[in-house]
Amino acid sequence: MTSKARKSLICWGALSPIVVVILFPYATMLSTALKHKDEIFTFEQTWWPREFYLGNFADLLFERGFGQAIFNSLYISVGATLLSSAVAIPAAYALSRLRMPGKGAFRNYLLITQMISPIVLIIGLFRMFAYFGMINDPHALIIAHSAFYMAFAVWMLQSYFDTIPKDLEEAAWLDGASRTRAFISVFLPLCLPGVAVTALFTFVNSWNEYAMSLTMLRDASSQTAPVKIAFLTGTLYETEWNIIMAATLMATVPVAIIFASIQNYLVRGLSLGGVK
Amino acid sequence: MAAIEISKVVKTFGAVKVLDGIDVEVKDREFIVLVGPSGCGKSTLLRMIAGLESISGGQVAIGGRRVNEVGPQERDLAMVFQSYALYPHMTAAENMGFSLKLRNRPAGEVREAVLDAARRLHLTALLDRYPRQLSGGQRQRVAMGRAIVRDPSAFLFDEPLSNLDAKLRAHMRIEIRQLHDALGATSVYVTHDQVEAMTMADRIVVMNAGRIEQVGTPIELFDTPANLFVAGFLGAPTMNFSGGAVVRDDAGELRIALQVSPRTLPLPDTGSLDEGAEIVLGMRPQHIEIVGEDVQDGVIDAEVRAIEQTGCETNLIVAFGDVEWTIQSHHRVLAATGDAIRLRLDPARVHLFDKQTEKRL
Repeated sequence: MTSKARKSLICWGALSPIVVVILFPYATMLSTALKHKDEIFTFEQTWWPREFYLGNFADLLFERGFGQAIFNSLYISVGATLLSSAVAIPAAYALSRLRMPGKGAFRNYLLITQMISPIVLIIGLFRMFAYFGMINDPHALIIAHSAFYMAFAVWMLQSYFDTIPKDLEEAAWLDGASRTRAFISVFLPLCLPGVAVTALFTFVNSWNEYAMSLTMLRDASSQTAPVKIAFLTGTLYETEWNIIMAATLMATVPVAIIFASIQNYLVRGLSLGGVK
Repeated sequence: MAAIEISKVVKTFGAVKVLDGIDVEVKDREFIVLVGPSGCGKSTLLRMIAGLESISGGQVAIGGRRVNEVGPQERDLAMVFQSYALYPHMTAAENMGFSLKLRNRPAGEVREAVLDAARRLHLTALLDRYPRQLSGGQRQRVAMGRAIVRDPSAFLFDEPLSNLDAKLRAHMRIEIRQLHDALGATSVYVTHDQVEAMTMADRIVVMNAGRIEQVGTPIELFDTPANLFVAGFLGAPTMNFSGGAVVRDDAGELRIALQVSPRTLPLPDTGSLDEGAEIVLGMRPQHIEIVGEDVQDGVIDAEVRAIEQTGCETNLIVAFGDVEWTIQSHHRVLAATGDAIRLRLDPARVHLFDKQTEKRL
């Protein structure tokens, strides 16, 4: 065996417990979601379903309105990501590039906001959005989510922006580009990895957020996926694990796929922005 | 191309004054080199010409137009950065054509201009490569190409050769100068390397601690440095110095007595020195002669401390008293460490400076 093969074998051996811990819930979800209700509560548990039963998903989507919940989640997460990026990118650019008074104080202020748990603010937020008549309005959550995750986004983006040499923009200015044009044509393409990572973090945070969604969105039709899943448990006299597992699968797999597919980009963005 | 006038320019960062009343006039088609030790303000001055630093006081004019309030986009200058600052996500051709694209020139014209610049710089085969696929020297050429592809009022160079190896640097020195002449350009070139300054410039501006020490042609600065700083900064190896005073000998003639040498030296004809004047004597390593026992007048007895043979010249480090001097000879000097040696200073090539003001006498 070559030393490289031995090395990778040792690495995989060391990582295997983690792989099991991560993959076990997915395996359970998948196995249960593909089983018929009757097959779940049998004495002899099998991983492999007797038949690949897709009725749970159909039930979930057409009978229980889970499609709507996924759509709501998507709408809010995408909205929050776009809004927070739209504000955080210019803010981070200003912190990284412009000379302005109170820069350090502003950075500290952003940090302090991260020390307050969102739960503490929920009552206040509820009253505020109620005042504006925005209860049950997904836009209320878009605003709240983007505000909560913005400080992190600004910090993350600024440290990434700091790694982009200033010379490049200056060269663009001398080439005749306006500040905006240099930002769009030269600066932004170079910080795409950082922007992508930050946007993804915001998206995932917003996608998974539970407490605020539960509070602000009272209607069944406006609920997000995590809230909907919680409502699926303990509804009637039984817990329909097959349905719940199908729902969790639908809510987590897309995010996992996105993460896995842009993994390289992510590592580059994180290591460049955070470490250097 | 255009002239650049810098008058009474001041730059302050908070309470720190980094440039203090700078006056330089760069004539049309002139190659001016700003040289000085790091931190002397030469790069700041260049960035102020470029519009990348604000001007705290005074005025910068390009082609007769005051540009203090004009942004770098509107100054019509091209700059080559020390880091080259090539756009990493664009190919060499896109890098070079970017400025023309911004001016909305037709694609055909941009391609033609890029090809023309690439031919001049021998880059034709590399146009489709990204900066990361190019060597240091090639990147440097692309950066040059980006500057020459349009016809700017002036070129600004910010230590463009400092990241290259010695051989390539020597080659690029010549190439940049030839390009300057061929384009009929006006160039301002910043460097801390006095060899670049000496070989490339029409005129050199020597800067130190935010002020201009002297402006002149390379030969003027080399032969008649205005003060101790310029004398010590230009020339390699650097000029040798020793403190001394003007004394009157037994015959009533004025002569120089060096602090650490018992013999006196003939005083060059400066006309203005009186007995007792305290001076600093400067002598270039190339202008010191090694002589035998037969020469008596105006010699210094010294001891050889170290010898460096470079093949075509010999550098001797010699000492007398606590003073160490370097001597450069184009002859093979066969001496060993510890040997006694007699040095003769050519009176016509002695530089004298006032000890207090450090100005040339």
